[in-house]
Amino acid sequence: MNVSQRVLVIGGVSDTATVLQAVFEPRGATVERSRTHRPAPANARFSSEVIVIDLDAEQDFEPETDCSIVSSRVLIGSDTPKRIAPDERFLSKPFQYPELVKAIEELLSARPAA
Amino acid sequence: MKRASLLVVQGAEQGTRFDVADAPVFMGRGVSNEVRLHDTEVSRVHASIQIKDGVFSLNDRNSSNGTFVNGKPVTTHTLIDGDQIQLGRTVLLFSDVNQDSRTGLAAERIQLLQRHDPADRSSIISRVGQDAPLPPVVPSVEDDSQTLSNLAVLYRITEEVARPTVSMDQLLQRILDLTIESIGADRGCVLLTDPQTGEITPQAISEHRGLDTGARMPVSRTIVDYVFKTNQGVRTADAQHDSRFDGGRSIVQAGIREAMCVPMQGRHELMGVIYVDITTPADRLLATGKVAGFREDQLRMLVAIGRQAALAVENYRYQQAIVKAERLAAMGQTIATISHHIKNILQGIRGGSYLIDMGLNDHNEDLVRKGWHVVEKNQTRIYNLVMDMLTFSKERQPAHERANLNETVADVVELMQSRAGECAVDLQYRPNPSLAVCIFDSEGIHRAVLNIVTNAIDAVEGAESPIVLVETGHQVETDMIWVAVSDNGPGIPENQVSKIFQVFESTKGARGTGLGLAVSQKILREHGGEITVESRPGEGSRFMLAWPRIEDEGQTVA
Repeated sequence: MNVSQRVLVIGGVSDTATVLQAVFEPRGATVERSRTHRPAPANARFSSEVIVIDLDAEQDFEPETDCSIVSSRVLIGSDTPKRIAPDERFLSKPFQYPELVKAIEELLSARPAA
Repeated sequence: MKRASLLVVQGAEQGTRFDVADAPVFMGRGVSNEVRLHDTEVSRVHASIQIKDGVFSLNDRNSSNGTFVNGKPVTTHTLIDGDQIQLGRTVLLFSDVNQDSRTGLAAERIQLLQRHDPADRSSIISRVGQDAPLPPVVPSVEDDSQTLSNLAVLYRITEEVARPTVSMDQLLQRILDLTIESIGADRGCVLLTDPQTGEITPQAISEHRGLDTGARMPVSRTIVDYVFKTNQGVRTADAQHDSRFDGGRSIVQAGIREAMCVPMQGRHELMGVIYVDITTPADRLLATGKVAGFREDQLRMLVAIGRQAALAVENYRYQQAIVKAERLAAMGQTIATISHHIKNILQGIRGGSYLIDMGLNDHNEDLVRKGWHVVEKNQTRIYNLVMDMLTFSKERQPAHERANLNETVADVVELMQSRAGECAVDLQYRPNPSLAVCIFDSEGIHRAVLNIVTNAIDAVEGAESPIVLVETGHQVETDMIWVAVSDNGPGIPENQVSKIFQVFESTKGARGTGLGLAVSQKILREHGGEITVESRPGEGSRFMLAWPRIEDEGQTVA
């Protein structure tokens, strides 16, 4: 894992971000949290290497069409999305945290730090 | 013990049921009433219901706008099953629960005489089809009077059918009582076909007032089958048991002398039959100047009543099917929503447990503490969810006590400070120092304020310089106690303001249960108060929880 890689947790309760901070920050990565998938200003884009997005909380987020997010994504939610891209992972709630940590590690290792 | 119930069919409490038992029940706007109505047209103590000698009596308590029963003003009124009581804009349906136990006896009180039963000596003496005209067919002064009388009976039956009812048994009982009275029968019963099994089952039984033989009512299965088969109403006689033919014998305790059986033809199927009979000996009837049997016009009248009763049963079943479908849909939504929240909480607990596990393996106490903190947070979430569900699900009276509102709200603010700190929210508290001890349900108000403050913190999290301000006060002009929670969050879109108090409506996505505001509103209404909200998108929201101050003889608000 490269130093200064960033993980962004979008939506849902703060627990996921808390857990990921405890796991990844000692390894040199940063973990941030955003309440919504819409960055401000509206035309901005998230610049994290990996984004973890809670689909249940962000019900207006369209995994297939939303262009504001260009990072690798881990989608978590109750319903499986219609399509999952090769650089995406989906975890069905309630998932086990080792699965989430593993998914993020894989995606981070595939993308060098920005 | 006699029991009854009041179902609110119109008003703010629509759908709420109140039990009426031995103790007097007071109805009004005030908090001390057993039946508490949130209706500004209702007086503080508007009316009461008391039971005396097995009779429920409604009394107006000098209300400003009056008490109405079935649309008529009353000062005192003996309630009967199905009465509609109107107080202000609120309408309550009175149901005598004992009516159910009366109809529940129908199966025990009816003896369905099987085919070839020697006790069954019925023979058909006349019959009419469904399309038979109503009597009379030959106009005369006497017939005109009979026509009016028949129309009056049908009118009353139609009114009974249209009256709201809580059970089909009660509906049929009312129709049957009226039929017995109008036709001059001694006894009557309704037999319905079970929609599932096709079995014919007794549903209601009635006897003429004053006639209480205690004996079972014999019903000829042969006659019932004939009516089902031909869809015709029939008049039958039991000649061998008729005292006109057997001077020395009585009518054989409760035996059939003369009977009528008519179909209950619904729109699409035959629902059952109405069966009435006369057991009084003919000579006794003749001695009192009464007609010694049923007439042809009465048979036609009964056919018309049977049709009305069948339509009522059909409508009732249709209504029940809709209610059942809606209930199942509501249950499904409730289970889905609750499961979703429990799943999110479980997710949080798994996260905390994962950190604890890591910390234990690495001998990293800091990680264990972080994990435990996450677990504790989720314990609180599940506790709040359960408490909200319990508060929302129960009809309860507030546990009024003398308490200090400033302290109650201070407890909430203190409890929420750590949460506010985590979210970088400035949680401020401005109690009104002149607010003295007053009477309220401190536990309930604590929960109501907690839910609003929790929402406010969630709303401002991530905003620029997020602030939540909690204030208390007393409005002298209206004598209302209040707690206000203001935030500088994104505000609530105008089209959502009216929905936010509905259960399972949440603007917080997965973080909200959709119960918090509904529960807070319920608690405030239990106090006779209300939650109002002012919100401007982009500027923030202000929730005002206000309720009337209850007089405390020892203390007053400064």
